[in-house]
Amino acid sequence: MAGYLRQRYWEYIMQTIISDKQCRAAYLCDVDELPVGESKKIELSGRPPIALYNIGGHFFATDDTCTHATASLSEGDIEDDKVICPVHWAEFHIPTGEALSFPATCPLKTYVVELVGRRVHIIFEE
Amino acid sequence: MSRFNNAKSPPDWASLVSADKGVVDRRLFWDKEVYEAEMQQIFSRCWLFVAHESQIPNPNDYVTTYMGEDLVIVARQKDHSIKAFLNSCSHRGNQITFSEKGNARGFTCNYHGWSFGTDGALKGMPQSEAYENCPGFKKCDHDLKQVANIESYKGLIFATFDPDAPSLKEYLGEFAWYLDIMLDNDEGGTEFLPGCTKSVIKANWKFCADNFVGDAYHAEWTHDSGANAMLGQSVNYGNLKDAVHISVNGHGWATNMDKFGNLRTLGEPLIEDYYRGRWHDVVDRLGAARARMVGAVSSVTMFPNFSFLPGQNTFRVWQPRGPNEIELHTWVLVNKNMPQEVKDAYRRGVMMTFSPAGVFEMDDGENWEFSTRSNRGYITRNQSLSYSLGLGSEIQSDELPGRISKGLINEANHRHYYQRWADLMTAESWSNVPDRKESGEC
Repeated sequence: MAGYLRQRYWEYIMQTIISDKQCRAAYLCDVDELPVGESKKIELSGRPPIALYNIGGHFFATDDTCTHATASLSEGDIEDDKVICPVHWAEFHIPTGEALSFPATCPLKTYVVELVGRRVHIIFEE
Repeated sequence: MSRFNNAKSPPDWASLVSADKGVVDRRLFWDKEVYEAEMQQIFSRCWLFVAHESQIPNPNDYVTTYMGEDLVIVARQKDHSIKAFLNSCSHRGNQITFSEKGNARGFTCNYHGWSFGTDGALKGMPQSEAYENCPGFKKCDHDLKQVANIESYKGLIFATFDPDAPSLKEYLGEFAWYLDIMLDNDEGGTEFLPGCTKSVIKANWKFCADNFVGDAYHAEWTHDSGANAMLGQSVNYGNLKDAVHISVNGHGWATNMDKFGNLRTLGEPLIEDYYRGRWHDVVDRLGAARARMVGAVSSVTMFPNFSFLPGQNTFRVWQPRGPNEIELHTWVLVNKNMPQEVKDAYRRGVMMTFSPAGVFEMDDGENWEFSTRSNRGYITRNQSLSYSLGLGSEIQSDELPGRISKGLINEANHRHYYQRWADLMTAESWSNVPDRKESGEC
C-alpha cells in the first residue's frame, strides 16, 4: 500500500512541477523484467512504441522505430551503450539518441527514465 | 566404338564405368547431360568442403564459396556455431554479397534492399508496410536457404544440401584416421595461411580430382623439368617397397611413406628441418605409419572434388564450371604452432610450385586441358579411357584401414573413385549407396 501511494504521489509531483511543458509519466515495466544488456519494446496506447534498454543496471529509453527505415530497435543488438538496428545496422548512441553511422542520419528521440521503487517510467510531452 | 553407346536413354550412368576392369567412357569428361546429372546426384548430395575454421574465427566473420555451382555464404554466428546458406536473394534471386570474405552484421541485396542477418534470416525490407498488406506474407518464409547440415572435422568445415546424407563422420569413415596426418600431427591444430589463390583451368573437374586421388605415375614424366628446377635432378621415386594406394568409398590417399619426398620439392630447408625436429613427437602422436606419411611423396582426393598434397600442404577445391572448365581455389595449411619463419617458407614454397605459375602446377594444367579438349571430337569422345594400371594389386593390411593396393605406380584409387562416382550417379537416395569395404568388387 505504501508503495502504491508513493507511486501516485510521485506521478502527481511529476505533473505539477514540470511547469513549462505539459508532461506525463508512463509506466513501462518492472526492473526485474529487463535483464542487464537487453532491450524491450513497450507499446503505449496512442503513441509510437518505446524501446527500453538496461545498460549495466541503468535504464534508458528511446523511440523503438529506427529513424532510417521501418525497423524495431528492440530487436537489434546492444554493444556497450550503442544499439544496432537489425535491418541495416545503423548505430545509435542510446543515452543521447545520436545517429552514429550510415545509413542513419536523424537522431532518435530519447526519454527521461525515472524509477519509482521497482517500477520504470518514462516522461514524455503531451 | 565405345560399347556404352546406348548408355544414354534412359541414362544408365553406371554403365559408363567399368571399375573392375579400369575402363571409363570418355563422355564423363565432356557430355553436358552427364555434368547436369553430376550436379544433382553428386554435388547436391555429398559433403563438400567449404572453409577452414581459421578463416572465420570471430562472430560475424564470413567467407563466400561454392558448393558445386551454388554460391554460398559461410558465416560464424554469435554463439560461435557456423551456418551456410545460399548467396542468392530469396526475393528475385540477385547475388547478395560479392566479397570473398569479411566481417559484417548482415547482408543487403543491391536490387530491392532486402536485408538479411548473418544467419540468413530476412530482417527487413524497404517499404515493408506494403508487405503488411500482402496476404500470407511472413518474413520467415523468405529466409535464405540454409544447407541441410554443416559440420567440422578438426578444422575443415564441410556442408551438404541433402538432409538424408549420412553424418560427416560416416561420410569420412575410416578416412578420418588418415586426415589426422594433416590435421592432428601437432596439438595446436591447423590454420590456413591468409589468402585464396584462384585460377581457371579449362578441364573437366574429374581429371583434376582423379590426378590427385593417386596419380604418382605422371610425376616422373610431367614434372621432370620442375623436379630439375627444384631438386636439381629428375623425379626419383626411390624405394617404393612400402608404397600403397589407400581408398575409402572414393576418398583416396596414395603414398610412398618416405617421410619427406613431397615437402622437399618446395625448396625450403626450414620446412624439412621443422619436420625432422618433430619426428619423434609425431610418431608418439600418430604412430610410425602415419608419421611417415606426413610429408611423403603422396597425393589425396576426398570425393568428389577436394584434394591436397601432404608435404606441400596445398589444399584445393576443383570448382566445376560446366563439363569443360573449373575454377580452382587453393589454400595452404600450416600447423598453428609452426614458427612464423616456417609458415613464411610454406607461403613462398607453394607459390613457387603449386600456384598458377608454379613449376609443377602449370604442367598439370596443360595435361588436363588437352585431355578434356580432345573430346570435342565425336569419334574421340566415343572411345574409352584406360585406368587399368595395377589391376589385381589389392592386398589385406593389418595396419592400414580401408581398401589397400600395393604400389605407388597404380590406378587403384582411380578405379575406386569412379566406382563411387557410378554408385552416386545411380543411387536414388543415400540408402542405395553401397559401403564398399570388401575387396572382390571394386
